[in-house]
Amino acid sequence: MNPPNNYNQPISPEDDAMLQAIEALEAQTVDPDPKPLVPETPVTPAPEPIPTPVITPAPVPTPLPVIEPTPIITEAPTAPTTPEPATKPTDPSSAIAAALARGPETTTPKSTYQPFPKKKLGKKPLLIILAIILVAGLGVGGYFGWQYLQSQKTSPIVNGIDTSVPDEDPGLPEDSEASVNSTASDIENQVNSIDETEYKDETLSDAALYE
Amino acid sequence: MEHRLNARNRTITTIVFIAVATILVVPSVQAQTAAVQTEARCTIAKTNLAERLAVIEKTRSAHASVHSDIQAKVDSLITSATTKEYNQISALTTAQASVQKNIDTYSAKVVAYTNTLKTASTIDCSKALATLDPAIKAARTSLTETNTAAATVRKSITEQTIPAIKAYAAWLATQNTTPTTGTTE
Repeated sequence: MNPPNNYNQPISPEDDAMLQAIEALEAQTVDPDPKPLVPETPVTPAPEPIPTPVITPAPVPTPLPVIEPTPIITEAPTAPTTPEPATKPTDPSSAIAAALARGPETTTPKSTYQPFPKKKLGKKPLLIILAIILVAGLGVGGYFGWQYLQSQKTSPIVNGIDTSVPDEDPGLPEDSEASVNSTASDIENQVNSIDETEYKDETLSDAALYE
Repeated sequence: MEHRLNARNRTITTIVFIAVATILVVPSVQAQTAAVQTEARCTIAKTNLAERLAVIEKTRSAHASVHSDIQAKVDSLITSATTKEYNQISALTTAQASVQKNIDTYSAKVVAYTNTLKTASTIDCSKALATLDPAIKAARTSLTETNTAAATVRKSITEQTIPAIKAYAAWLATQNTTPTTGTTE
């Protein structure tokens, strides 16, 4: 269980087997990154639309050997020294570890392919924006169309003559007999409400001035 | 006998002296009291005149508001009568013009009255006491003219404007009963 502190010393078979098993598991966990491999082969299918490139790269057979190196990028500092003494025992796991150890040479190209998928995703936003613009245009057009239809209804023009009824209704109450009589009574009340007592002569009488 | 005559003369002399003293002294005392009372009265009158001035300013403002509102109503009726082609619209316009003229006269009279009140209320009672009575007389005259002008405005509205408006209402009634838009007399 304890990892060897000195790699020159022989490792017990149990520890060696455990170490190889761990390395194998780590390699499997990192495998599911097939995406970086896609760029190499998809260079030719690039003209195809969005959906196919995402699906096809995964099943490509070649990536498997290339995929394995990726995990080794992180494990490189620990793996290189240990696998060599571990492969000598001729275990299957040691073979896997040796294969993993060769990986670092091919890991570098994977990082360069990562930008490609991002470029392909750039077409979706464009379509979404176009759809939004289309919907907005339809909405604005519908609004102004509705306004136009309403104006057609309110001001119908027949033979060049506007047959719509002018807004004279609000003024009608003022022109009615009742309203005019009401105005007359209002004015009468206003006149009667005028207080002229302050203009009486008594306001400047001696009694008022010298009291 | 001589002794009695001397005593009698003394009595007469005393009475004469008292009479002369009374005649000479009392008027001067009365004059002094009269002067003090006039200055005091002047001060009281000035205070009352200032209060009157404030009251008249408020009354003037209230009357101007009412007059303006009435004239606006008449303006509106004249506009509608013009639209309706009211044949007696001249009655409305004449009444409105007459009322406006009377209102202008009234406004001028009120201004004159307030000026007389200002003049009377700012007299220096200690130096220009003699000017108080003339100022009060001028204010009273202006007050009478203002009262007359206010009554004239009231009369013109009551006797010209309101009858003209009622005549217009009656004409509208006839127009509603007879749909024809003729200018019936």
